[in-house]
Amino acid sequence: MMEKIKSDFTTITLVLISVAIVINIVVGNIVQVVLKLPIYIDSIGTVLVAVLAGPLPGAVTGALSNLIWGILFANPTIMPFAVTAFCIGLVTGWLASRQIFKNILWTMVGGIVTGVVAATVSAPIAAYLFGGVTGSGTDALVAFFQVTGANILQATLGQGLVSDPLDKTITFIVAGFILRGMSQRYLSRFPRASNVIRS
Amino acid sequence: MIQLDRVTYTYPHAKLPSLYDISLKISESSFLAVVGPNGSGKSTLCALVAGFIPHHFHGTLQGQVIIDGRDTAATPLSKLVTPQVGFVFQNPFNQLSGAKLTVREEIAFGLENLGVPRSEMSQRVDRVLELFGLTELVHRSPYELSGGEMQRVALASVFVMEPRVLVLDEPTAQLDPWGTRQVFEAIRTLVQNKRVTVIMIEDKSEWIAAFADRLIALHEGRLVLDGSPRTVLTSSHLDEIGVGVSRYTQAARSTQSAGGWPRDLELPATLDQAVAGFKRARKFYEHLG
Amino acid sequence: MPVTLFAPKLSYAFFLPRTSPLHKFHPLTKLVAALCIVLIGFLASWPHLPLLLFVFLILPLAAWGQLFRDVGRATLTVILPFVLSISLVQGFFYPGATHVIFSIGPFALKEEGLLFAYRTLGKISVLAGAGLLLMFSTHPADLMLALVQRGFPNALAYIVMTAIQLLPHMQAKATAIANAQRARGLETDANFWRRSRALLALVGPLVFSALIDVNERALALEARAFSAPCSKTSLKELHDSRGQVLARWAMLILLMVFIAWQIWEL
Repeated sequence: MMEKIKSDFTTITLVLISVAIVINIVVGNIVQVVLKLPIYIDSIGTVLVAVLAGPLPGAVTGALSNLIWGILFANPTIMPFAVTAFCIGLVTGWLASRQIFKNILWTMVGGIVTGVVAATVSAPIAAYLFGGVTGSGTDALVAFFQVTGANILQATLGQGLVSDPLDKTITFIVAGFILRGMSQRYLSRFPRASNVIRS
Repeated sequence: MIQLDRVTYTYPHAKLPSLYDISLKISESSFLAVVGPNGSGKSTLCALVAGFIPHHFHGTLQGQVIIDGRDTAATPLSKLVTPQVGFVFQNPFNQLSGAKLTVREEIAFGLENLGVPRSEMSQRVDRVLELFGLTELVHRSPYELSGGEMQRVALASVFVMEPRVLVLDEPTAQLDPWGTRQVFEAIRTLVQNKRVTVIMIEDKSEWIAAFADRLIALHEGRLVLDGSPRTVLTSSHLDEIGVGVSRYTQAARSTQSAGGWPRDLELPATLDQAVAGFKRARKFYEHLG
Repeated sequence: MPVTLFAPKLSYAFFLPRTSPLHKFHPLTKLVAALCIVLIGFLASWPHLPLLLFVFLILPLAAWGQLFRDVGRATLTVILPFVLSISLVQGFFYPGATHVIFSIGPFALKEEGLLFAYRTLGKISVLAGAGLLLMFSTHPADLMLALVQRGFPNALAYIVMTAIQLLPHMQAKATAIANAQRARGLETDANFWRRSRALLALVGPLVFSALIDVNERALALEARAFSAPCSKTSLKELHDSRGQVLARWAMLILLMVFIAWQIWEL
């Protein structure tokens, strides 16, 4: 088992992870400033790594992106969500091995599934650590759900299910286009190139 | 010491081989320069010596590459590259590990990976810093350096690991003239001080002619010329394969038919050779009156 | 016209060098301390403990580390969005709350909700304060080295430090691409759809240019014995002491005792 894990983390995978973390942060930042919507697209890098190198490298990319973002922008409150980012990497990696990135419709389905997983994992974290709020506009949704009778956990989950699947689907589609733009020669250097290359 | 035995190599997904039936013997402590047009297989040759082919690039390899008696295909990369073969790339920026904050730590990075004890590490790093004139830059961030300085740090970082062979793949291609000079001076220091075999791809013929003992030219994956730098660089075949000759050679060639260059003397590749030759020709004419 | 809004200049705030005793502690000591403080703050059943921890433990430690204003200010920046949000959302809409304090039109502010908001804000302050104190007083490179020395994979240190150092360069690339696209007529200030297209035109080239060098950088790492199977040494030395080792164990034991106590109290 350790051997398999080690073989997933080749030197080129490590370089890829580090670059992907930076992509996550830079793109995530641009999107926040430009679109000002509950769409983050801060996991493009995570998705790319999960597809090219497997679930565990993808998971590591997600978790570390979260932690490093927290360090660099002096905001420890996003760090607990590294768990969510970790799970996003795992799920994406698994879905990629089911070849979903070879077909745009399946890619979208995969995005929705991943979004649901992300919302489900985030809900307890947001509910029990932060009282269900994030300090952004989506908190109104949480209020709405609570008014209709949900408890905090349910309300947070509801809010997540509204925004996360959309965000992840868009992320998956963009990732799909990027992967399609890479040459066979380039892709073949990565451990899980078979997730993308049509043979 | 380094031996290529009928090597033919094709990259994965490529239709044609990048190297075709190459046989080459490189002796210890020699300085081999490699020239050739783009796509002629120079970088592939270097990657073979370093062991990146076949360990990193896969593809189909026929023939053998033997370094110090060991077949590179049979030796794992981590036992092959660094203890034996140091590699310097074209792009200075990409060679920085990125994991270290100061030049000193960056140079020590390879030694840390090899598990060298701290005191020995410190000494070796200091020696190399002095050798390459980098002592003033020790505390700077590697990312704040100029191209030439970065490339010198890369050279130092590889050299500190004491490889037997040093492979340089167009180390000055992305540098300005000042940076180029810095790197070549560093190489000169290296060659003067240590017994290391050097293989360098470089198109700046004046520099090659000054340093190299031997020059080979590649064309479309085949070895086409092999000899002393002066012979190869002034060979008429160079034009055929698409490699430019230096301006000194051009100058001598253009005056050759008019008698401006001594008939018994090889064409020049460097400034000094050109000056010596032209002086001799002038004496000849002065002699005639 | 340099694009500032589209690709903002990210300013990084992490390690703040000071000549304080706090800075000289071994990174693990500070990490363990921060984790213990945060866990105790979150697991405490007494609602006032988090706030007390913040005021009487975190802030004094920050002062000792010459980081009082920095930690204070940064914590406020982090907390502010939460304050408003949670007071309103849970104040008005806390599920099952009945004790009304103040009503405005159809909305009623309830005591249970405000109490909940108070407790949560306390916990968030502890998380923010302890986390910031750790980050401001410990350089990531030292923290990574400490972790690697304790058995974490070397790859972790590589990934974290490289990502941190590469970020400004990628940011500069993003700005350059944004400016180039804008010069070609790409609109970045118009409506949502235009901005989305603008975004795609930026993300694509940025990601590609970032990925191009991955292979060569991996080779350069191999050329530095990165995948050599031996155990690594380090040029840099971290200073530890018996006292700190004991302190770390003591803090962990304290944490265990506290957790056991809280469970027993349930």
